[in-house]
Amino acid sequence: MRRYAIPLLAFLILAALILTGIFGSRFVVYIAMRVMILGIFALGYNLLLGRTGLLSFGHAAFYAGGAYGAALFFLHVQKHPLLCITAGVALALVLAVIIGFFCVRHTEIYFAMLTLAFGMMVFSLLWNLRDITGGDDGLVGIAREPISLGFASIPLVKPGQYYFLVLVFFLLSLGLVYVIRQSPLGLILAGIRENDKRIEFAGISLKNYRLAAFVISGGFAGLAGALGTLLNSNTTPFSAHWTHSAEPVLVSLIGGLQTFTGPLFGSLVFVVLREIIERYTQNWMLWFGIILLVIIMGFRGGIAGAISELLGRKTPSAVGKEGGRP
Amino acid sequence: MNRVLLETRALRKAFGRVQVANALDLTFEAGVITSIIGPNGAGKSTLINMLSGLIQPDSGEIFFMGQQITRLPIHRRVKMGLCRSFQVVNVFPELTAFDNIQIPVLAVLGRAGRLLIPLRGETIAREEANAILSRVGLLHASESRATALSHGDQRLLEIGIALAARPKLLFLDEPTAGMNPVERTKILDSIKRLSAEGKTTFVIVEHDMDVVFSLSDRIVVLHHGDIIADGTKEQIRESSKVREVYLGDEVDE
Repeated sequence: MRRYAIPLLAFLILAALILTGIFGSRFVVYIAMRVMILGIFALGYNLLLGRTGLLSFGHAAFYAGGAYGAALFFLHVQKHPLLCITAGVALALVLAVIIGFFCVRHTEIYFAMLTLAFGMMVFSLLWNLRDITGGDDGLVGIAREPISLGFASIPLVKPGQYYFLVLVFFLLSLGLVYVIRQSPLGLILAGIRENDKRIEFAGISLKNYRLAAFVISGGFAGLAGALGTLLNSNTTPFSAHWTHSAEPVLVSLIGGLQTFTGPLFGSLVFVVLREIIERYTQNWMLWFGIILLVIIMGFRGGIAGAISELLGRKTPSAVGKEGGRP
Repeated sequence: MNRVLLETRALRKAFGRVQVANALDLTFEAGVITSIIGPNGAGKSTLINMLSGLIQPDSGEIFFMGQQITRLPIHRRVKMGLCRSFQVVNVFPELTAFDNIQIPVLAVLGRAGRLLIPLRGETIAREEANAILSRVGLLHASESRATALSHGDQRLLEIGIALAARPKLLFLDEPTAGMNPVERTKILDSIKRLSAEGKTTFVIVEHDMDVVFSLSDRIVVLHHGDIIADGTKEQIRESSKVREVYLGDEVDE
């Protein structure tokens, strides 16, 4: 029975996601897309935090890189949505290589502070380069053109249509992160988390592999940013703000740092809770803080850790160990 | 057989005013088990740290198989075949023993950067990691997390990680510290056997004189950053200078 629990759960969630796209109200579809986009952001981010053990406070810069990359490509080059998304991811990757080059030389608090500093630099660039980025207005009028395949074209204008593009990218990201976690690189990154002094004596270039994790997670942030731009039809400089950088950190913490599915649960809770709390009070941060406190103190392995404990699974593999330290 | 693996020229290091390496000239030849001994503070650890790349010498040069490696980063030295183990357990605590070994194996096979291929498919790496595990006698514990192993087993794992990088020259920093007699015999036998196979040359820093004399072909004695004796077991045993350092002034007859 337990052996089938995980595939069954995955199948049910997938079915629910597809049904949401077909039958969900505009609002539900919109929320679901936001959950998936934040999910992509956090999944990639958790490769860096949960797997490699590096705490970055600047990943909003790469999200914004994806967002502005896609928007600028749309406004100045080509309106094809897939090309826009590709351009966004490419810009995020370039940014991650440049910023990562400087940051991965340092660890712990120095690393975190450097990423924060670079993130704020990107924010102020977006804010001040009005001619290119639109300043505080951001870039507007990013329409969702149909995806033309020559013989046919897939419309994306309605949220219910765009939903499935987001779903496809969400599933692709899920698959890619899963594969990376099971790969040799995934093991090396876990080794860096476990003992970054010893890893070099195992013949691993610490800097290069840290950079790899940084750039990969930056790429996922860029994908999330590009999808977010197409969802909202605009960009805002606040997507690069450090408060936005905190989102994947919180989401990973809520969901479970050492787990694959943790960031997904975290994203769901984050977006839905915020939506609910905001209906009743302006101070959603206060209530959210309390809930976060309960989760962190109550379930050290996050939501995913708690669920796998419920299912009675004990550390299936040490690399992707469930539960674990916060 | 007398192939020079590692050579140092006028290697110097000082911490503040304390000279811990005073123009050291040393050569290590393939196949010769060398022990480095000396009282506390003699500069043994500093020497190994410099040779393995953990700290930079103030001046002097290090050559490994004819190549200058003085400023080379650690991981490049490891890939060339210069490796070390640590005095205190220094493993990947939450990973399984198998994964601990697999990391250096993947690194030397040049497969560590593969990100789209499942780890399970790396059969060569798996076989090699299992071979190392059985060599250090940990095959039965391959799926245990490193932290769950006994202290002695963690020490064995420590040496296993160093061996997994296929070193040509391997520094063992007090390999038998904290081991019980059974484990000690096991590790000494492994070292002898591996040395006889001829792929790896061992250089050992050790306090335990039984270990030193049972294992070494050559002994280097350090004192205050100087080499005060360098020779065979017999030469060292008979050296009055060594006695003086180890036993103090009482030897003055």
